[in-house]
Amino acid sequence: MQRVSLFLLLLLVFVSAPLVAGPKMNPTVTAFINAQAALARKADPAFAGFDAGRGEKLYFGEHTHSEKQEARSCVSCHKKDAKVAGSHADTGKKIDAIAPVANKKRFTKEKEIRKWFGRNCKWVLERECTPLEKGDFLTWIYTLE
Amino acid sequence: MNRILLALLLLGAVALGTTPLWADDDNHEHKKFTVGQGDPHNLKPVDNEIYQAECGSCHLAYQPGLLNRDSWKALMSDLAHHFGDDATLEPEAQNQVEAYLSENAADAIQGFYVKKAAAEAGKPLLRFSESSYFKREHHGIKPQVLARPAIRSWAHCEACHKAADRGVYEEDYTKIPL
Repeated sequence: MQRVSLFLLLLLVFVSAPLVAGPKMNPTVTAFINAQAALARKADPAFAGFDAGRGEKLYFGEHTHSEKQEARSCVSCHKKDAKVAGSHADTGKKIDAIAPVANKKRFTKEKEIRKWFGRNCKWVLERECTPLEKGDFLTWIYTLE
Repeated sequence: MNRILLALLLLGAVALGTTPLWADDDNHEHKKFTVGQGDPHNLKPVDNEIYQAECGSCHLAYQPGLLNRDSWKALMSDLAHHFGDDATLEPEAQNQVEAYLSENAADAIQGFYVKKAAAEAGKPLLRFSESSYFKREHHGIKPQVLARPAIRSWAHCEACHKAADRGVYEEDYTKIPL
């Protein structure tokens, strides 16, 4: 009887573990976030850590493009539900989900992380994102389950 | 008895964490094609990883055979203003993509129809969709069809041409989404 209970317990652990635990940060993204934290502290000695709430606001926040006069945000291409695939605002090309819980390939290569922050911050905000913004965004996207 | 239970349990755990290996996201049959004969329905597929990764993230990695060398050169010389987007590449990627496009351009390997289209315009054609050939082939597509959320743009070849990523634009492999 005791053994059967043990098996049931194991079964419960196996089945429920992926459901309750949020996505763990991989070493690459952890190192990237740490680097952003150091930069944020340098820019503002009062920096008190990244904030998922600010990251979420950044994701949904709209910016009117100075030339095109169109409202742009992260969700112009990625979806409001970051766990589903989006599509490119101009070309319609499918874009795999951005939330790491839905797409394990996200944020696994530093070069890619830098590249897409670079391109997409410029596209939406017409400027680079600050280390604070990058850290906030990543903190938020990893809270999604 | 307990061993059998344990084995079943482990098997279950493994099954939960994996995707079936036999899954295939293609819903069309595979067929062999002759490529590189100048047939715009059947282009040499893209076989360059850097081009695929760098350009193919935002739009279909268009087969180099769709445009002439001059066109690719003109496109690649101003990626900072790439149809309203800044698509600048790192120098190494820039060089590799440029070389690949140049070596596999329409006039380098096969095409003549694009050359004709380019000559019509009097300057390098930057969009294949602006060629007279393309327009003729798509004349039946009404603006309201193009505007459908699943299509949206002439740049979105794969919306209708289900095998566009393999260079296949034949009618049999074309389905206009509603």
